[in-house]
Amino acid sequence: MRKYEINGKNAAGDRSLKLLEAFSAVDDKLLEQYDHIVQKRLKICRYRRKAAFVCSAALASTALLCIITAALHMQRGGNPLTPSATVLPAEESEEGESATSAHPSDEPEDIKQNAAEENISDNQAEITEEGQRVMEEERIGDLYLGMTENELIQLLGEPKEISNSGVVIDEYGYRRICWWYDLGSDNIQYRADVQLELIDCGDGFFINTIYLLPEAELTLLSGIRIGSSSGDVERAYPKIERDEAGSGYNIGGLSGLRFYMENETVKNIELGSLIPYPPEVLDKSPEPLPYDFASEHITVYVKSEDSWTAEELNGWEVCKPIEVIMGIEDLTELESVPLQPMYYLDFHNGTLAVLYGSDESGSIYTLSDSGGFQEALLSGGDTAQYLTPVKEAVRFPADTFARVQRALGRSEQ
Amino acid sequence: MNDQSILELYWNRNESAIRETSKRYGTYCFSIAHNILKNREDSDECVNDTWLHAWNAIPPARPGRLASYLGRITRNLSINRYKLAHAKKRGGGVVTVALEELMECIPDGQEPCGMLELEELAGAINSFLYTLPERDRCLMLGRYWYVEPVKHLAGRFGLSENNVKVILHRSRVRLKEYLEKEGVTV
Repeated sequence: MRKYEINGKNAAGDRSLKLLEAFSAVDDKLLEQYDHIVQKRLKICRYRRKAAFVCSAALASTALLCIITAALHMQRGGNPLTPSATVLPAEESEEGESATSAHPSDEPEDIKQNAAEENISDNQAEITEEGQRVMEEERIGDLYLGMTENELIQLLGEPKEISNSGVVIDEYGYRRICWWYDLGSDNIQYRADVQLELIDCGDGFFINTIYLLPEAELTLLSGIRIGSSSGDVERAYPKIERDEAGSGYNIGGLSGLRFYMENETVKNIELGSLIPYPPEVLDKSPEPLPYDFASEHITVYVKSEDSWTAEELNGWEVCKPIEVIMGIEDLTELESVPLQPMYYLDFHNGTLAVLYGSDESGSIYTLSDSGGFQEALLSGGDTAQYLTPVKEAVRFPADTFARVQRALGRSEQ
Repeated sequence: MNDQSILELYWNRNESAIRETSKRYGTYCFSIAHNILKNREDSDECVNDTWLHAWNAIPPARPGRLASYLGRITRNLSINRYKLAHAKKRGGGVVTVALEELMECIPDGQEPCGMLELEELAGAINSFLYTLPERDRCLMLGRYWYVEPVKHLAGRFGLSENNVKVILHRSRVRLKEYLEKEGVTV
């Protein structure tokens, strides 16, 4: 059995080093679980990059071919604007995919494969080769799967609508949201014609699913659009499968390209999902906030001249109104806040809020040690060691400052 | 070559076991060493030492999961090398920050003296990790097993850096309480 002698000046450091060493003995099962989760996320992010790369490559090759074709036409005395043949995107080499940075969990390919196969609910396993191909290559108008949120906003601007539920978090912790655009020429106000599901697997939102509603006027690379006939679809996609119920066509099953039909014409088109929903969505609630204003005991530190005094607020009746006002709406991020705080509010639950004045500007920190913080603040010492910033510059809801003043029994300014 | 085949090479005392291990787990082990040491040469040496340790240990050792087995050796060698390099002076870097964070987990009222048992502490940490929700547990492992920077963890788990810091802080507070409750000395 290994023994440790701890003494000397660096005792605290040695003890934490010992804790770090003790982590070595963590069960293989936990490490395996961690590796699987990280691998899954890396895989999805790589997939996304690959999809984006393929689409960029498609654009570039199309542009290049257009230039070459135009040049040839010019040489032959033709019109440079004569349309060229449709060019399908090129496949990306594996090297492009493997250019991601090394990671402790960058396990060999067959381990990744095994992990994917072993994981019963791994949705990537549901995506067929054909479905993957069509999702990588297909475009609907200028939209493609894997397009980032920023690229989307650059292309189409802000969405007309966003899903009422806001961001939802699926079983694996991926964040999802729906955006709607009205891109058609119809004059029906308030009716969108393109629905996009965006997903964030760790480094920003990107398009996961594109769904065209009946009024949409966008066209696929094949020329198929809403209103195309069954014959058009079958000619454009010779290998497409008709659903058993006859209600539509699909390539790739659940993850791929689908045409929903009505009276033998295309009524809706769906491309995706790159990352399908897990079988059961376990958590639809928004991501928990890293701070909490709920408390029945708040210590308010009040600035007076060049020192601080502590005042205690106790009881539900006094504290609840402060919790309600501070949490009543999303906080607005500010670029900066005044230098001098007016109040520190320690909620005794790990959250500390700072109020700078009646303009409602403030900051939020996590507080590691209420006692230590109090001692440091009241004695004019350094409080920074006790604080970890959560939001350094925000605007609290209107009336926050006044409500704290009322709770302290001070007249409102 | 899969883990089983590699292990067979070790058991047959076939030296290509080391080459195959290096091919399969070289990047993985190097990343672990480099997160701790932040030095390419030292990391390379730790990885090479890992192969040697594995060669000496297998057989009779029969690792259940080769990745964890090798990663654990690399991690221990790297921490030992880190301790040697920082015996007199503690420098900056991810490990130092992680160590400072871990100070929060040390139970109050204990005198840092005497002979202490690592296994007991390791067992308590292991049991504690099982009490955490999956995400929080993964963040703890990412931070204190792989010694990953907070920024990387934030990107990997789709959280803001502040959010990761808050979750880690709360987990450390829980770990401290757990160790105190279990009467484990650090």
